[in-house]
Amino acid sequence: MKFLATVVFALTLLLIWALQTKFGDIPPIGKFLNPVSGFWQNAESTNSSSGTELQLDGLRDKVIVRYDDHHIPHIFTKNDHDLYYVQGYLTAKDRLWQMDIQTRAAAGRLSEVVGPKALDIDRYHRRIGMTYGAINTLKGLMKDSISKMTVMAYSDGVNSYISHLNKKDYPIEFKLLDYAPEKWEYINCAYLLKNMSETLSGGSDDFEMTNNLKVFGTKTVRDLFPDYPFHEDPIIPAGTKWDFKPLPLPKTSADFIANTSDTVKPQKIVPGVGSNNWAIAGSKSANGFPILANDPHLNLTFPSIWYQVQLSSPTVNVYGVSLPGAPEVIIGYNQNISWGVTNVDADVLDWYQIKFKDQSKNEFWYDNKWVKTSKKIEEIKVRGQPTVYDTVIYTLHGPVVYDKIDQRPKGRANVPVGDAMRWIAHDESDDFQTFYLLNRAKNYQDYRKALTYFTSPAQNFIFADREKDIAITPNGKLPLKFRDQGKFVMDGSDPANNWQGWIPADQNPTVKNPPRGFVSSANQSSTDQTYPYYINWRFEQYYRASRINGRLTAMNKATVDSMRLLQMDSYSTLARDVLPTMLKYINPATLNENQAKGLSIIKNWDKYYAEDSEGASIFDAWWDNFFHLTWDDKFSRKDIALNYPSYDQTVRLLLTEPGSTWFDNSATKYKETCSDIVNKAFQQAIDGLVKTKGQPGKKWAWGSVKETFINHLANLPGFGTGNFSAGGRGNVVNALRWNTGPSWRMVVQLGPEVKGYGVFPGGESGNPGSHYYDDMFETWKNGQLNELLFLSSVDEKSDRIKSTLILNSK
Amino acid sequence: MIAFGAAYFFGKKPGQGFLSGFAAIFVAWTILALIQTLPNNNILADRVAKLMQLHNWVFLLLATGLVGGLVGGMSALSGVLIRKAFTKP
Repeated sequence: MKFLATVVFALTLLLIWALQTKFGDIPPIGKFLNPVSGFWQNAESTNSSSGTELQLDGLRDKVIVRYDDHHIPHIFTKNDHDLYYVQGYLTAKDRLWQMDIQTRAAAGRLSEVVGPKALDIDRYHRRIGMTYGAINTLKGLMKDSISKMTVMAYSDGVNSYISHLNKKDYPIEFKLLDYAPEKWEYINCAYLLKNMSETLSGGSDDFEMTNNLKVFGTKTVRDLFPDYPFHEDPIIPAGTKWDFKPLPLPKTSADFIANTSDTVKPQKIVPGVGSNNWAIAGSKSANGFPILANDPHLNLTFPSIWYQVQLSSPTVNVYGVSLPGAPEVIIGYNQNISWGVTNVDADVLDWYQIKFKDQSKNEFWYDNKWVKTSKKIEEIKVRGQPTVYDTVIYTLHGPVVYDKIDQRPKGRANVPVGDAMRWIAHDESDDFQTFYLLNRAKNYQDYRKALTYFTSPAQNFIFADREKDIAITPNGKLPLKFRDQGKFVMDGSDPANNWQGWIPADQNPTVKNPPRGFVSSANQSSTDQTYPYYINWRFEQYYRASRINGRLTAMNKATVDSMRLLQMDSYSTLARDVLPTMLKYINPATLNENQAKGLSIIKNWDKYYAEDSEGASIFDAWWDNFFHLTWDDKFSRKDIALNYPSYDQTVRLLLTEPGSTWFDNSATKYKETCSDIVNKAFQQAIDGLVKTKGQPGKKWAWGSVKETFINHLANLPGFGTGNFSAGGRGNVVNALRWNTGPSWRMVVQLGPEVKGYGVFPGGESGNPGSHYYDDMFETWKNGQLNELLFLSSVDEKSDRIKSTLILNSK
Repeated sequence: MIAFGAAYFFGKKPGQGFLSGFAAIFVAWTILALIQTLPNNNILADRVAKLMQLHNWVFLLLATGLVGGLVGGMSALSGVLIRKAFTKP
């Protein structure tokens, strides 16, 4: 009897233990299902209370927060400290897990919570110097009394929320992954900036370009990879005069291309991550005041990368989107001005080949002598396993991302070995100051002053104000380079290859009130070829820009709705440029029945990537096949990583050099011409569609051919949207495809009373158990915008205010 | 704990102990979960059910009740058996 009792008792304890423990990716079942402390507690009642009052340590005065019908907080404080404190507190309340996981990812600390499967990505983030850069950035932020105040107040607010959090109220992801929120450090705000820098300026093709040079020689590289595209429509209108005396450019080094020998390539530039913004002058708008529009294209996730907020104190009243984890509004407007950003695509990441003296790697060859390196030991904690220690060698250029081939983990064969990385994100900076000033800006002068503080990732800052000024400035800290410096991997021993200083901030390209009556950007070349400095050889191609500029040129008496429709526009500039020529080459005699049907569909296509368009699906596959049939045999090689020519250069050959030998497939005896490739590509496109979608018809609609989806940040099934049908794609204004696209669409009508409109795919709350987790998704998907509630004072009445939160100091 | 204690003092037969422990916690957990999920329109329960590859959140509710019930039942069974083993009849 005693034995049986002991066995049953032991079994019970074992059962309880098993239910409280995480096995692999399976959450602790008992803990997770327990209705008193597990996930059921995250189910928020849909009838939330209308008023609450809380006491918080650290507040200096009474704070009133109005929540609107989308759960967007409108924060009213009596001083700036309380403003950022409460911004931190409330952002944490809605987005704590997102803040935790994003900074963990940037800091290379994912393995601590998810175990060894994140070790590769952690090691990579450590080795490219994310921590090194964050420490430097924090130094810069803390030197400036304003940035210091905002970062400290924001962090204190986050910590105030965390310290009052009961276990049962932890965001559900903490329960699934079975870990607890930790204190928010000041450096986490800097990690967020590093995250953005990595997304927007962390890719490079220097290594593949170097290989191109070796395989094809200088002439081919100059032909196919020129420094200015065949088709272009630059951000600063061509012909704009530069009213400054430029600094002399540094001298090109004797042999600036490193003699590299390995076959691994650096992180690829992510396609589809780009953005649009534009502002029209009062002369083009219906009410006589400027209208500004911005839609940054990023990875789309639940929760959204953005968090809407209104911040109001005696020094500021601003509305817009913020980044969870950082103070201030990043894109938005106040009573006087509006601003937005797109990525510049400046070359601010370069690679230097390093020659070490010996295996100890304590010294490297530089300026004709041996120079000391330093070593940083990275301690990576791994859940359920011993801590991993990783030594990173730092040269005066920056960290050597991998100094031995066997250091490079399997499955991440995308980093060059033996090269040091020079990256703007490693430098000290004070980027928050820019946003502090923009949030409060009243006019053009304030805008220009704010921009001087911004370092990285360089952005096209667009601007409009109620005094009817409009402007755009590709802006950031841009290295002063000789032409093509950093287009290829450089020799790290020659000091002439170093960045030689900076383009003076007031000489960054800029334009104010151009005669054409609008300013715009879509990641294309910043300027025409007369700009005296070198920013990059390669920018996003002109397809979106050309469409935007064409439409804006034609527009008169424009309204907010004209801007909204342009944001949703899916007209293909590429198709406009190439389709007539491609159709000309088609030989109808060689087509089978389906191919002939396809030909008649595409002949009648209006060149819009609309959701229900069958022509779009055909063109998309046709162009894709044409591109790959042209280049794959030369540029897709197992032994060496090469950079493909751009669409732009492919278009140039198609339109101007149909007899080019590039069209000849080297694997066949027959000598192919452009016409052969165009025909073959078309037949393959139709055959492919028949194979996957059946006979020509409704199933060929672009919306069902294209994949579009939004996942939860941790790709949890059931927590995202699943695949949905939608128009658009990269290279058209509505650049929506897969899980990248317009992460925030905003239109602001300036005037005596500013009016803002905006929407992002998702909702304010990061809690999958909240009604506000995805309440804006449908509006976004349908191409509509919400009218934004911008309260002029705390006492303004609105029937959209659903609840009030009063925070008192203790 | 409660099931263990209650069964220790009041439980008579092992089978009955298990069943009453199981039923008590099964009912308690199910009701507590319902109190949370109904005002939520089952938004979260639906999502978690999909995550766990269940067709309907009701299965999730059942699973919750079963897990709670199992622990309750085993605890109660332990309570009854331990009292029987360690107290003289």
